[in-house]
Amino acid sequence: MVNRDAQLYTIEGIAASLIILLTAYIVLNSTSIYTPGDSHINDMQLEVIGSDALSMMNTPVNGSAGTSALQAVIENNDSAGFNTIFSNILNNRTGATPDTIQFLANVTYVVPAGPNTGNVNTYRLNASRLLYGGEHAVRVSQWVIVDTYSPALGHDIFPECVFAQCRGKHAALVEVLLWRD
Amino acid sequence: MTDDAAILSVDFLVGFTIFLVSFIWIANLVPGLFLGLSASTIDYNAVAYRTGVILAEDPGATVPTVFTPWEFQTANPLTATTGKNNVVRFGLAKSKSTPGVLDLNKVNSFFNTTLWSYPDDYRTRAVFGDYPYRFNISLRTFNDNMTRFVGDLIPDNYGFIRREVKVAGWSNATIDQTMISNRGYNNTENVTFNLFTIAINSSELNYDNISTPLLDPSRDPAYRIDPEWAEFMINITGLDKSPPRMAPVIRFDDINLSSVAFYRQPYGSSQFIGITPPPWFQCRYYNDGNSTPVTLPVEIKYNVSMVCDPGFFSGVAPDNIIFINMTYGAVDPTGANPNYGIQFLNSSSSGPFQYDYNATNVTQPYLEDGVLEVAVW
Repeated sequence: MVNRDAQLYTIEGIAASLIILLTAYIVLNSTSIYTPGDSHINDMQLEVIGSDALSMMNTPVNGSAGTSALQAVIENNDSAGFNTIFSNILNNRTGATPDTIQFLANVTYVVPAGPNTGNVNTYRLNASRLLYGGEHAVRVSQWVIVDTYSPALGHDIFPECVFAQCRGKHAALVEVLLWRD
Repeated sequence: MTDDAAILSVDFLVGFTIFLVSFIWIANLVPGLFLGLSASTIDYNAVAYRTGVILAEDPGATVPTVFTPWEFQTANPLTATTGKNNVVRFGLAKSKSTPGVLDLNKVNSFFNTTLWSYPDDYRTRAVFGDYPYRFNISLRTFNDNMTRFVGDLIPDNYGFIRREVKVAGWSNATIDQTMISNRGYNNTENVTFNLFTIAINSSELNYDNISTPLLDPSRDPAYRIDPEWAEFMINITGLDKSPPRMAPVIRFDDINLSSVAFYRQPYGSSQFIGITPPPWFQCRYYNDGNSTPVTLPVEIKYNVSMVCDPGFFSGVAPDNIIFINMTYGAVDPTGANPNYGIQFLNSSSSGPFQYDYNATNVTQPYLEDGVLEVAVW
């Protein structure tokens, strides 16, 4: 007996296969398929640059200077200075066009004296711009020894300390999140 | 009677054709899917990273029997070929303990492409690997805004690493009018010539304190002035202005630097031994701000500079004291006694000028910001 069922199935089959093929084509030709194999290289490169930048910023420029630029910006609470120096080091290239790495830097420390002794606190040093949810950031850090009483400012650089009660050398951790535009 | 066998055959034919076309198409797309995972790209990045680490964090190496740093292996033009063969690994760091702080001698030698040929010399000493990689290595320093590079033009697909570095420069000393007056360097007697001495205490520069074991230098290597391999620059200025201290004074137009002699004093010894540096290392003299070196004796109106090549004192043991004796005379346009009453540099009563880590004596080596980039393909 002749009917049209088979023809209908064939047309459905062709339509379905075309949809599947179109979908596969769009997926496979999309510009970025983010695989773990790609991401670890970019992350590694960003971590190396960030780690180098913090390390170089924490190196005094000569033997008689004594204080590194990183120590100086923390001791003087100079967030604008940090932005200028760190951005320059971070984005400098051998060619004329600078890189476009963004950063967000925090300082973490243990309160060395006073009623809050032993508390771990963090404050924002500076950020080139806000970090949104979709950014893929890496984290680098550098320990720095700072004099927690700033003669230039005339007061303690950690807000929990008053009346120079935290005077002396203490460790602080500078943590920076880095991502590309 | 009609049956549906033929219709089934057409279905099968259509379905199978679509399957085959799709299969071929998909099979052609699959390699592109793994483009980001292809071995060569990962390898290029890994090789670039390794090369970056070697250059930024390692001081380089020579064959075990040779102790002269690799960057000076080619200094002697007669043994340059042997010297090149002695270099097993390039590395630009000032020392193993100062990653990221580069040595200016190493930088200058590494980017000297008349000395080292691209790509073979670099491939065997910095990039390594069995595959014949091509590469581009560049270094930009920001105080002088200078870019050095070695290698090819960079193609589209390559492995890459960037290292933020500092390049340690040279120290220099300027002895100006104030220093001459305050320290009594113009406090001369009536002598037939004036002798001014500069002392470079190697043991102090290398070890700060000689009582420290010699194998344990205490100063951070990033800021160390290495008497053997550092450049020395000494500027003496304001010679026309040195005020007279003793009367009577007859002012002559010029003085001259008639000769410079180099001596060393071994540690704990009172003996002075002459230094004969290798002829390929030299000290150059510049008078009155001229950029062309002059030969001694030379007349000076205002100032004089002495620049000694890195390696000039390389034969001096690291615990010796180096003495640079500058002999000054007078140019006498009047025909009078040329050496009477003239006031200029004489360290016989004040003691030698100390070339050391005291920042008031010597402008200490400055660490200049730089960026090193390695591209490999």
